[in-house]
Amino acid sequence: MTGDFPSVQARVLEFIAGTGQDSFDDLARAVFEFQYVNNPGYRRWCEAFGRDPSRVSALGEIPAVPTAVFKELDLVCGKPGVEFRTSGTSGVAGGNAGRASLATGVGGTNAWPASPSPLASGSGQGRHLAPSMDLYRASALAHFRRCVLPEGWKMRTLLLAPPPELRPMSSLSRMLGWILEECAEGGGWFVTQAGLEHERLASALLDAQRGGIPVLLAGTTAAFVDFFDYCDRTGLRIGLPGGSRLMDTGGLKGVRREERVSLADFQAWVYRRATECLGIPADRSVNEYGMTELFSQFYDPVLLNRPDYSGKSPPRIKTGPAWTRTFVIDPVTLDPVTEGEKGLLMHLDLANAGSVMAVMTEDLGIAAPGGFVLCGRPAWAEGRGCGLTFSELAGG
Amino acid sequence: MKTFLLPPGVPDPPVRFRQAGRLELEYPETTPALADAVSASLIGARPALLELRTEAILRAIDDAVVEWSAPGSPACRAAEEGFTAATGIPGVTAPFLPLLNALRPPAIRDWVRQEVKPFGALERFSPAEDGAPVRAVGPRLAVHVLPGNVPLVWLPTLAACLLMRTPCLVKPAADDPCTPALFVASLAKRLPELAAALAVLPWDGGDTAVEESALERSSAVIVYGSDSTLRAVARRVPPDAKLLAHGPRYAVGAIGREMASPGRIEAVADAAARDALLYDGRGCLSLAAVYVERGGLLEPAETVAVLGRAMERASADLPPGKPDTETAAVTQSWRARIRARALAGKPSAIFAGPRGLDWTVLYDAELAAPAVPLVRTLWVGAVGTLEEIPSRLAGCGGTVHALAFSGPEPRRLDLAERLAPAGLTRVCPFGRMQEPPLIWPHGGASPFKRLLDWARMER
Repeated sequence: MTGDFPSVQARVLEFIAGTGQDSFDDLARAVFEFQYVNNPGYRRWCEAFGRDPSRVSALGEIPAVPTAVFKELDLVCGKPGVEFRTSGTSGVAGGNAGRASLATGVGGTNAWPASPSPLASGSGQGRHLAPSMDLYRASALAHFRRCVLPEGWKMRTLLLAPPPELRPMSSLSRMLGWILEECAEGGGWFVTQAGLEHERLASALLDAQRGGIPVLLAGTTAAFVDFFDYCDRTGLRIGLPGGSRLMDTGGLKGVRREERVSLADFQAWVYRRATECLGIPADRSVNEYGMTELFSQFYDPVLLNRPDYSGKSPPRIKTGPAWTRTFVIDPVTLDPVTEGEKGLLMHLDLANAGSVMAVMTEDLGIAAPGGFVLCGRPAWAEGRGCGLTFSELAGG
Repeated sequence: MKTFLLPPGVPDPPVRFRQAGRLELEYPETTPALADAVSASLIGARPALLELRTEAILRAIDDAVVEWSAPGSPACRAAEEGFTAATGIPGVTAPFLPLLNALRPPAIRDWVRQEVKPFGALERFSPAEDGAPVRAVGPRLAVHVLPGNVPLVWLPTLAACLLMRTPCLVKPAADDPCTPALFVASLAKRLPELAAALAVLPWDGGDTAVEESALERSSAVIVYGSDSTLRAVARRVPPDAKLLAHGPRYAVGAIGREMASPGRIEAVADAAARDALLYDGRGCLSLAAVYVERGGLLEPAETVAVLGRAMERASADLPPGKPDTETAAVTQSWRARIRARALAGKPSAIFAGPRGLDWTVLYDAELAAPAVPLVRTLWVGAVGTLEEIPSRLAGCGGTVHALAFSGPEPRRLDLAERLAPAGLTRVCPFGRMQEPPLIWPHGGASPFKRLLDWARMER
């Protein structure tokens, strides 16, 4: 693709709006060519593998940049106009998203201690640089509306995450801010410098219950778990009006747990707690999967096809917008896995036209009709032991 | 191939079959009731075990070792087949034969004499150094939750339990499904008292009902595994039972500037590569990192290239197994990160095999404690002097328990002195890391010292 970023951005924005003439494949190839020419960090990455646009015949061959690389290289087309940062724990602290999403607040975390980095220098924070936020905003709002507000409603929206003023580098806070501005009818933020405001949130929820006003609760999974613990401590049980819904993101990240648990089991447990504490059924609880390094997100399409969660739950299949494509990659060979096998998720995201379109995540998943089942992140590949552990184990 | 062995008197359970590569493995339908029946049967066998002479037990162990060490031993070959089918790692027999030899007299007798004083106290009251009669008594029942990373690494502790007259319930690991039943069968056929006091019973990890039942009657639990496995088992250990938890540990190496020269470094590099890749790099003694001292004829960045070539050669002799998806994913992430650091102009470099994750050398001059475990990966760091190594490892929380060293003897002693307070329990030359002597207190603790109770007769 020749031309400057504004013209590339315009074509992608048209694609997102459904008004463009490009096919996904054609636009993806054009974006790759544009990024190869205009993103010096990405070009060096491609050259390290002997790849350039002339040697790529299929979309799956476009060199993907692992999220770890965002910690070391500036990967932007032209001059950066915006910067988001990961929390610096992705890759060691678990969860399913690598963006700056705190458990309950700004100052504290209840996560397991992260493993020490083997590298003495470097912040450990991934940086997503881009010329502008326009593509992020367009992509995030469009797919959020489709998956979380498919009725086209505007809802009272209560946010369990810090606002952008507190976390200017958080892509999640930025996205939730747009949702509050564009998709909400009242509501606000319930995380401050001091953490989650349990009483104020409880009061807002009770107010909605009394008024029969459906609400959307959105925030980090860890913040929801924190609030459910508060409900247990205080005996609070709320029956939110029908139509209320929940959107959580982050999965296990920042959640203290005694034993390893699968992401699916954990998520099912969170939604059972949501039903107990808030009266929101599992088929109105939507998990979002996103990360700082991607400007598009993936959602459980439960509000679109309302699966039956009363018995044995069907797997939640994450669905991306039409301007993304996901590949499942064998982590040993870096080739696509055979059908049905678990592998690393690699996404092509046209909304990343200003940075890197092809991103190799550290998340594992399995391809499924219409999307993929997220298996979570190997937060730490566990050591196999035959040396003695002296620590607290003897105490049980 | 059978994965279990029950003591006589316990009825045969229903079985199911699982395919592992070309092998069909036979598993019992393990229920809490079966685990409880096996435990009860083993405890019932203890009085007869207590009557056995130490020499008889040593002879039984020796006979089993001789059987397994014989060229073409069917049992040994079958165990290797099972291990390879489950892990993809071929040719593990030869490396573990030295371990077996260490369990033969006189080595095993020397080991026990060093650990248990007086030696005779394992059989009856015997005079201690001060003349007072003492008696060493082992646990009533020990449950061994075995590792799957290195075959037979658990055998010395099992042998120690038998010498303590402790019946043993053994849970094999999924990655080494056949070795325990085969070796225990070799022991059991020597003496009926051993046959009655030994059981191998697999169950699915995480089956809490079975696990609770299996552990309920135990008075000692020996568990090998990841931190989460250890935590899960530790929570279910009876309050009065003793726990030996063997968690993740790894080894590092140090190369002094005196060795960093052409003609000297190549042999060190070959030995280091073998230490890193033997058992697919999955052992607790697998070399995870090497720190190279600056100031030699070769700079650390040049030494790394030599290590890369050595890893390529060693990989041909020690081909890879099947890495698990999670560890492979983390390995790829670190490969990418180090490659990106090199592209960004930082003092980093990556050397890697042409196929998949056959081998990797990750160099970062400022390497602190390495990220572990990765698939067949050797981290390399540079240090101004060897004395910097303890501070580099400060963040690893004492998980480094062994050091391979190449350099002048006084410097080896000095570095060992500095690392011992941080949990170091073994220092050896490169190339010998995976051949620990039996006397090495695995992970820093002797099973005799941890599990024996002592009775003392006062005058």
